[in-house]
Amino acid sequence: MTGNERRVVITGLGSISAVGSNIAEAWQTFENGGCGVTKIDNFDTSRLNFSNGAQVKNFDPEKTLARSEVHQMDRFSQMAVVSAQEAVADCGLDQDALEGPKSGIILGTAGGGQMALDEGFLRIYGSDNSRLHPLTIPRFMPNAAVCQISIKFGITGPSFAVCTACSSSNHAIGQAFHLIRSGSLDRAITGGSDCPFSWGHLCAWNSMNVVSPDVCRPFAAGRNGMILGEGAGILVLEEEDAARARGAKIYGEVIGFGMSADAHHLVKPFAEGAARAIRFALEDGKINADEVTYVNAHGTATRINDQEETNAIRLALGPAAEYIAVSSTKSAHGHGLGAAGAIEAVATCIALYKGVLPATVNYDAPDPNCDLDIVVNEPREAKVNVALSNSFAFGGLNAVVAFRSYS
Amino acid sequence: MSEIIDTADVTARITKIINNQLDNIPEGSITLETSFEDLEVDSFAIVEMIFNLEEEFDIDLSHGNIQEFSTVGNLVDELVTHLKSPRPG
Repeated sequence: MTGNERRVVITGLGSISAVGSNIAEAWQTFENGGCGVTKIDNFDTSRLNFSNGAQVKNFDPEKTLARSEVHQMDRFSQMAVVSAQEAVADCGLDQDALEGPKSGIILGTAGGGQMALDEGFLRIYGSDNSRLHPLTIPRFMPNAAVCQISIKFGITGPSFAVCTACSSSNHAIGQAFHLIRSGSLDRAITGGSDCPFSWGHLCAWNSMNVVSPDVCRPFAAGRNGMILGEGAGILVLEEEDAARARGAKIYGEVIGFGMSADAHHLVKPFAEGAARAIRFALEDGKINADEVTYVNAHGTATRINDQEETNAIRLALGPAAEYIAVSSTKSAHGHGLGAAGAIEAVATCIALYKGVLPATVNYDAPDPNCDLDIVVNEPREAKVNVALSNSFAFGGLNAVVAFRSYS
Repeated sequence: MSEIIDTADVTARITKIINNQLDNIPEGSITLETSFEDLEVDSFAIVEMIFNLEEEFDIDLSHGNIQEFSTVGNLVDELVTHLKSPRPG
């Protein structure tokens, strides 16, 4: 890193997921080795091959938003805005700074407001009623959460949504990091949200045969698929000098970002492509492999993902891979799809800020094909230097964010 | 068979729709004289209100001059007229 390069720090966090309706609850769950997977409760799942999901129970956006605001939003926007409220309050930025020209919003989502769309389709095809709610499009549009946060907080700088399936949030966080580092932004609200528990979405996942009939057991011998999750994760990123000058609490530093495309297969993971994204993140952050202490893995718990990701980590990190702790917190909060990278960044922050590596829960037995140092079932205390957060999407669009503990 | 249209009932249901849609209106403050301009209802909110009226009264307001009302009273009159007119089919 050159002496005059702008550095980027995390000064605010917010999250809603099956492991907690705010950061304190989520971190508590990680510290307890807890799991948020329960029976899916908004549909009869008897026609599906799975019945469990990582849903947010008792979500009530009207606790912090006006009814008229909630009404305009699909659930994925509601969760993003409520998490943004938490993150903005947490970071302590004043309204003048938020409204400045160099404040932006970059969020990821895979499905956008597909619950609004599903509701519309149900009317059209299920009830032969072509009269749809006039807010169907503005609720559905995948950029809606960005727009709602812009309106809510008066943010007028560069703002957009990123859509790269399960890497969306990591791509968003990476873009925010690069825009702040380059000087295009001074601060950003970033992360992402997704809410996949519509009937249409559940049926589509069912047909892929990749969802576990019980729980998510990443890297374990008994793993049998992913568990769908919903939620949001929001990070406030700021240029370091400005954050320090106002005495902000700093959770950690974002130091590198790497992207790649597999050019290989629409759904099959590919170690070489994933490894390239990890290498680019190291290169971008000028990080040696032996500085990496922890990897928050993509770890979906499909047979092939976890094996290919094990290979990717070895390919990219070489001999250092043998000494790096790895966990997949998807075992606890499910696969948040477009929100995955954001919720996992929240999990990575507990490692950076509190020295607690969140565990891979539900782990039953080792798989020789996934023989890294997996943090199993209980969190582990560790002094974290560099942490990586992997996201590898369907279609082979990979995004890896590198963080460093801040002192 | 002609339906009996109760204007008071239509008024109550419209008032409820407006109150539900606009959460900054104090309960009980909407009268027949209340204008939509005073309620600061924009054109998109009118579109949504029409949808809500169609849902509530199971009618189709896509034709006619229902979008041209200026007060709650005008809207009640338009709707009562609409509800009294013969329905297709």
